[in-house]
Amino acid sequence: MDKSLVIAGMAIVTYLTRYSMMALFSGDKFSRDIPPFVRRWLDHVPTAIFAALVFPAVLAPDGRVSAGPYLWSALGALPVAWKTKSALSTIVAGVAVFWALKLA
Amino acid sequence: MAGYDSVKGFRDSLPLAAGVATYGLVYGLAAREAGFTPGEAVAMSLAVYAGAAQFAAVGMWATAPGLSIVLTTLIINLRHLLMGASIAPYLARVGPGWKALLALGMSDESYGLAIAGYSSGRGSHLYFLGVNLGIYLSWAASSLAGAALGTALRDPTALGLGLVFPLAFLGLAVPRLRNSASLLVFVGSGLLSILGGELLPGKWYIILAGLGASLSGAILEGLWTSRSS
Repeated sequence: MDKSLVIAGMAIVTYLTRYSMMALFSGDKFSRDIPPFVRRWLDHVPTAIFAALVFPAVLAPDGRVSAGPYLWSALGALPVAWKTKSALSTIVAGVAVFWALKLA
Repeated sequence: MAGYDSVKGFRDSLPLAAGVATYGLVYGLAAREAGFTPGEAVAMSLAVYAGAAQFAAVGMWATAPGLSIVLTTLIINLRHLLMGASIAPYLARVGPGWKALLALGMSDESYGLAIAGYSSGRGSHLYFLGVNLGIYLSWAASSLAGAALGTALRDPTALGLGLVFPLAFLGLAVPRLRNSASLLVFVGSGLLSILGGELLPGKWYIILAGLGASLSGAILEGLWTSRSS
């Protein structure tokens, strides 16, 4: 199949995943009377997604669960994340631990 | 409290944009190896703008039919449904044109920053636009650079740059852990995602863990509140 056709298809389905729920859940009426359960659920979604992006990446970076430098770096960065509440400081702290381990 | 504007959003996106750029470079290289010209590689980045799906697509390109590439893209990006649903209530007051524009640029990274802004009470559609723009430009420019450089580049993940994303998301998650329910959602989702990664193909583990843990958290919280009242 033609390259540009496949790319167009990929672009369309991707855009639909981005836009559909955003449009559906943000109607003025809907957001005024969101049921409390749905509100609690949506409030937990980012936390759950962030965890799913952190845990496998640091606990199983090669696809198998193992305690390696990525895990130690994340654990070292944890108190910094707690204290500063800043993504940038967390990155700096974690990469610093990674390099300290590598050079030690 | 004053709201964040688009300049603040763009600035806040820069550390994450640096991480995105390392993946963009690798994507550009992979696309080149799969027979894309630099122009085609960056066209896909501009139009599709979804890292994991693009990696899968160029990996499948030589052997898979176009339709299966499009379907794979859809499945990998289903996690956007959850992200869109959770950020949508904050967009109740912006017009349909803004929603269409913001949806165009929503990535894992910009969603994370935007929802953190909204949760702190200072987010805005302008801030969301600023973070989208920073990540989008970085992805496009680094894809082009990767494809143009060809194979002259070494693996940037050896420098510890593969840590940038997990660390950034850790930094965004920790301030959300305000009570036992949110802590449970975080740890529960983490364990589910590891388990899901072992059992499921592709990025399904994000959907499994994202949906499973957030719903369990909402149910448990509901039970606790009704018991204590």
